[in-house]
Amino acid sequence: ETAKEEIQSSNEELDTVNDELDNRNIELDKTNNDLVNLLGSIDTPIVILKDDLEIRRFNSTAQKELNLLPTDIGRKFTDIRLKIDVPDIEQMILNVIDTLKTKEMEVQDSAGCWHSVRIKPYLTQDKKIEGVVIAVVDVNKIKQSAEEIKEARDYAESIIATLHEPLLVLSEDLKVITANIAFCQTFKVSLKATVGQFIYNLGNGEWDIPELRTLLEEILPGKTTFHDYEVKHTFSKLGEKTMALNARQLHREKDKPSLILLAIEDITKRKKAENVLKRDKDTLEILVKKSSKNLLDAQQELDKAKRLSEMGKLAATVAHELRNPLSVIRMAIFMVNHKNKDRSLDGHINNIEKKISESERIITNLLTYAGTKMPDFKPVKVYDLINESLDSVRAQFSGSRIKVMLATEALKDLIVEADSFQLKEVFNNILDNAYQSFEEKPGKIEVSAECGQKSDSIRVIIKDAGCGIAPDELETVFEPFFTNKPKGTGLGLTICRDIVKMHNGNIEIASIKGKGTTVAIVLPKKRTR
Amino acid sequence: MNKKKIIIIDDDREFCGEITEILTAFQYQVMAFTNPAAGLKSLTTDKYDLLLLDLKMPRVSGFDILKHVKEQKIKLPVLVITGNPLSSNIVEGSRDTDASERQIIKTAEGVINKPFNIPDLLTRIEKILNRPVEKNK
Repeated sequence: ETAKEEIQSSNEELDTVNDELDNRNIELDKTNNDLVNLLGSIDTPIVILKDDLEIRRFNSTAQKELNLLPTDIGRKFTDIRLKIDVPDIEQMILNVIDTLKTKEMEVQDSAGCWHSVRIKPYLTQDKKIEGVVIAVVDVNKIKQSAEEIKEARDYAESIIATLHEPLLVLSEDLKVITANIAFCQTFKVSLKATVGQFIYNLGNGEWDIPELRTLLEEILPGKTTFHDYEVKHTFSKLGEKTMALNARQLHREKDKPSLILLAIEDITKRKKAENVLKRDKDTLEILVKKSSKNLLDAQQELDKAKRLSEMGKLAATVAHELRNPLSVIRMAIFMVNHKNKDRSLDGHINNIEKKISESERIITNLLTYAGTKMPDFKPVKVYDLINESLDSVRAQFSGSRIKVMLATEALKDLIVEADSFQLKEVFNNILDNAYQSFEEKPGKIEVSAECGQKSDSIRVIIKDAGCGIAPDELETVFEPFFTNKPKGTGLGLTICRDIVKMHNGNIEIASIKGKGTTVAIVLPKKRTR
Repeated sequence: MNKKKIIIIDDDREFCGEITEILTAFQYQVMAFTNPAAGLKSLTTDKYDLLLLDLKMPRVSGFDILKHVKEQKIKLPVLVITGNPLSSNIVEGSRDTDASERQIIKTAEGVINKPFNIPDLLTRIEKILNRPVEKNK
């Protein structure tokens, strides 16, 4: 009974164990199925080795990719020639078993594809090492895109490097990421001292240019680009530079900070050339304008000269024709005077003679002005010329109470090269003016001369104490048709100036209204050209 | 004493009248011609001590008469009296007369400009007329 009971209980126990075993078997199957399915669904070849490097398990991908056969299970992994050759794999596996650390290496297969071979230790639940798991990951695409990225990067960098235009790549916070050779060369900075620097700190803060700040901090964030902003800046080593700035903000993927491309063209030379060109153009324009104006002036001058020459001809003809009757009147009045016994007529006769002289002077001045030609230089005694002139003017003003003080000894015996006819006209006119300046009142005229031994010119000074000339009029006395006298052509001093100028001399006039006038004539002794 | 004979050729009638009267008053014997052709004719037939000659005259000019005097070798001093502007320059060689005219003017004793001073004219005449006598002394 007892034994029966015991067997029964043992059977029951066994049934329980069996049930449990069944359950476990079911679970194991499940786990095994999970494992097989898991391994089979992984695209990455996976091989599990025992610690003696025997192949324990691999998935279908490994079979395909690594060229393994189901019969290879139990064989030593290192004895099999794999499709992907991994040098020193045995050493690496042993190393992983020893250190329990994952190893990874990149290898290329015979077709040139890249793979990453990852060896991980195979640990049991109780952390015992029982082998390794080898996973071969296809990194070809990653590798390829990395290469493509590198290529693109090299490409971009070589473009930047070969650009003649200085270029900076800046980070969002305006630090230099890259500078090309052109930048370093143009702005005489080293690459080392540039990369990583805040742009405004470059060259000891030389790049802290207000315009650049405005462009980078205000304009660029809003517009993302700017073109050809001209900035002038003086660098301590390089001097003044004119730069054309072009920039572009590069937006990258969401999280990454944007970049700034800043091209800095040194347009100093171009600008200078442009300025020179512009200046040349302006100069040319001015020249053209000037010459057209000159041309116009010349034309007007020509017209005027023509008119003057015609007027001159007319004046000459009229003057000439008046000389004949004047000479007859003079002779007639001479005879009237000769025959006259009636002294009461003397005053009238005297007046007629005076007016004849005045008319004669007017005619002579008109003729001289109209027909002043280049002087006919001959040796002339100026001393005699002054005396002759004085005689004729004195005769003309015979009734006046004017004393003439002569101090011209310096010129005695001196011979000067001049046109005697023209020079006499000069003295005649100035003495005539001097006499008339007294306006019928008595007075004194001083005629003096200077002639330094060493000097190559003479100086004749005619000074009167007459009415004088007002300062504003003094400027215009040499202009034709200017006159202060109630009568006269206003040509006297014009003729004097023209004649003296043609002798390469000089005529100066100084006057104080109410005190008198001094005229100084400077003439070269010898004809000068 | 014989009066000096002066011939005047000037187309201005009043000029001739006045100068004749003045010179007569100063003891000269005067023949005046307002027609230059007639004057020229008289030069060849009559003897004179001095010719007072105008330059600008119709038909026969003073230059023509001077040329004739020179060509015919008439020994007669000539004083040119002219209203021509800058005529003193003509003698000195100004550019407004042509070279041949300048040469002819040079054969004259002198040039006197209108309107001359009468005392000046008388002095010039006296000088010219007395010179050969002085030379002979």
